[in-house]
Amino acid sequence: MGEGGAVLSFEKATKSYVSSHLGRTRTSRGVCELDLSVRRGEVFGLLGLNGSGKTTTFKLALGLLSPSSGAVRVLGLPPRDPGALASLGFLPELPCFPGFMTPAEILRFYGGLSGIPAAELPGRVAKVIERVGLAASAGRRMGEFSKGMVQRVGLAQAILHDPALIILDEPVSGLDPLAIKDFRDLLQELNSRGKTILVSSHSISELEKICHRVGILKDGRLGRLLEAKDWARGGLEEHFIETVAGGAA
Amino acid sequence: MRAVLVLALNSWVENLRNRFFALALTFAGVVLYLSMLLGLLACDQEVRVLLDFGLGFIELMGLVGAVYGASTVVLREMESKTVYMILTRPVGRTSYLLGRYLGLMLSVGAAMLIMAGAHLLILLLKGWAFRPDYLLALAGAFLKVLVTGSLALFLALSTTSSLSALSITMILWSLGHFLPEIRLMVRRFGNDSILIMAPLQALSWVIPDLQLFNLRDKLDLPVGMTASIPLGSWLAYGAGYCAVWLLLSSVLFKRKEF
Amino acid sequence: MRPALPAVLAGGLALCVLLNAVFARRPWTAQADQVGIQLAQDGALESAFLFGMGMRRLASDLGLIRLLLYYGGSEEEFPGAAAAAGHEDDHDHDAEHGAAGGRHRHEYDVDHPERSFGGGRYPLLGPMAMRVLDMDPSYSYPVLFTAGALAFNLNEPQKALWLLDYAMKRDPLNPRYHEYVAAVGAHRKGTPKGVISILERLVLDPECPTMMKNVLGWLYYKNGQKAKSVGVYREILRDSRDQGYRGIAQRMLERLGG
Repeated sequence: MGEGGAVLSFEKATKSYVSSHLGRTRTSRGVCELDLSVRRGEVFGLLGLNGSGKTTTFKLALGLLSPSSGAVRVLGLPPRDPGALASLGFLPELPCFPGFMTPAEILRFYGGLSGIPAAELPGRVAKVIERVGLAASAGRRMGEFSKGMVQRVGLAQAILHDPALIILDEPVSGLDPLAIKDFRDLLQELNSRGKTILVSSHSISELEKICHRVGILKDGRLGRLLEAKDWARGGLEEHFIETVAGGAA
Repeated sequence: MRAVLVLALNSWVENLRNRFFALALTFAGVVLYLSMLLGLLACDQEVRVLLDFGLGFIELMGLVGAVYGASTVVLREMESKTVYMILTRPVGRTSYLLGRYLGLMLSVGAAMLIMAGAHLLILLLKGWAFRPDYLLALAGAFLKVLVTGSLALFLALSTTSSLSALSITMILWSLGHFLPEIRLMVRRFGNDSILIMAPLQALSWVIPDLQLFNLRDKLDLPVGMTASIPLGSWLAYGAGYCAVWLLLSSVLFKRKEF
Repeated sequence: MRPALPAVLAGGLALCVLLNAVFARRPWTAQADQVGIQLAQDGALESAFLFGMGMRRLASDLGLIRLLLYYGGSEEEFPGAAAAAGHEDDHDHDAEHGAAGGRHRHEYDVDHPERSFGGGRYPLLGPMAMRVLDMDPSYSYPVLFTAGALAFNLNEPQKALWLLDYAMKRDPLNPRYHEYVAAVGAHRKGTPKGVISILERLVLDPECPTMMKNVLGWLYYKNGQKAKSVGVYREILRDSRDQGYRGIAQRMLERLGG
């Protein structure tokens, strides 16, 4: 169960997209006055329809976007602060790796970028490869890997530098049930070691199994914030449909 | 700094294993062979033709590799979202660009050196007496590639289109070689047709004079003449241009929202 | 507060202007680039393309190859036959020495020198050499080759002198042109010994066309200096890359028993 202060916080964060074409300007909202915080040690799920602002929320947290107004903080720091970036790990949806490289080479590359000392790197890489269940395939090229294996490498690069906050965007997308279970077990194991996890997924059942809290986004706003006990009774899916179909905020 | 080196090394490895590089080197080998055939037609001047064709195509291959790479590497990583996994690490955006640029230029430079090695071997076998000016000519070609590569990177980031960046870069590359003619036109017609010549004049002040780096056009000068070139100024000019376009690229990239 | 993007771009362009102002506006080597290139009708597009790629020397090399292909690369077996027989060619001799009313059939047009070469065999030979020189004023070989061909093989010494004059205006410090003028002059006067003494100096030049060595060998042969003739033809066989003249040298050596 999550405890302690906020690892990630959104304070009335708004992100507007402005596009202009032939002199005409259009503004669309990614998120609008989002107030949300992710507590230390919890697994926080983000649910929402396509276009509800999940991706925008993630990108604001990662520093890939800057808020139009409001504030975003990672461990009390601006998201693009090197200290903040060193403390988070990110797995994008459908990560892409060069086909000619092996997992070990990829992880050495990302480990170097994360500032892991060169002397420590080989040991850390071997350990993480073992942890994500790829020890047997460590020497093979990525081009030969299945989707599930690529996803494992993606998770490996996200946790290699031992970050405090791990952000996962659709981590089980396209995986078979066995791979999904493996992934879930990995995430639960990471959380049991004190890692804070922010995860988005279209798989409501998966979020039900691992999350302590879930935020449901609707039209760029936090429609509903639920705790595990809330969906223990009625099921998360019902709350979700109620929220996005015009239910209570 | 470490991030720059890690990224540069990664680009180097990627380019080495990339089929494009192998194809480029093979193509260069074919072209060197063709230049030998052309040399036969030149009879007494076979060595000169070999020298000129070889140096010209080494530069061309370097240019193609650098411009293609610079126009595509960052855009490709943005499209595939690979860049997310890099920028969500404590890696400054300037470091990212610098690392990718350096890695690409290292790869291109290495390819040019390999081709030059093969070229020199052929020349020496044909009885050419080695001149250190050859290395200076090669350095000039590489400087051109560096400047044009930095320009291609800037254009890729500003247009967000590899094709546009490629096309505009090649046009500017060409104009950079026509600068003596452009300046002549401006001198001759500048006063009579101010409005028409103004854009051309502005262009002549902004685009790099690539002819200055064309030391392979000066290989006929008496031995040591190219050594009289103010090397410091020459390098500063090339480095200055690279710095300007890389700086502008960095400003663009820092403002970029993903 | 970060500056607006247009301001940053303007700053970058200003830096480019500064770089050009400081470094690029003065010549760096003794021989500045040829400006205002005249492009020949034949191959204009190709030349313009090569200039745009910074390959001016390559364009002049292709011009030479085109010239050599036009001339045929080799000539009749006994070089200078017309010269040895004493101006047997009719109309050119008459034109040059003012016979039949004193009118020159071919007068030199200072404003359009390339039009002066019309008529006779290989009428484009002179203009082609001039175009190569326009592209690369320091490239003397095509001029020396063509002047030699015109004077000694085609018996058109006046055209050779026009060509050499054109070349000397572009590269006045090149001593080779003056030497060739002397050789052509001696040939016109019909003094083989004078021609020989000048050619003996000319063939020591590494840039000397094999054709001139061939002429020297032939003149030695005609003047009874068989040992020297053998020496020249052996040198041609040893050093020349011109298959045509190597064949001639082989046949002459068989004739001379060398």
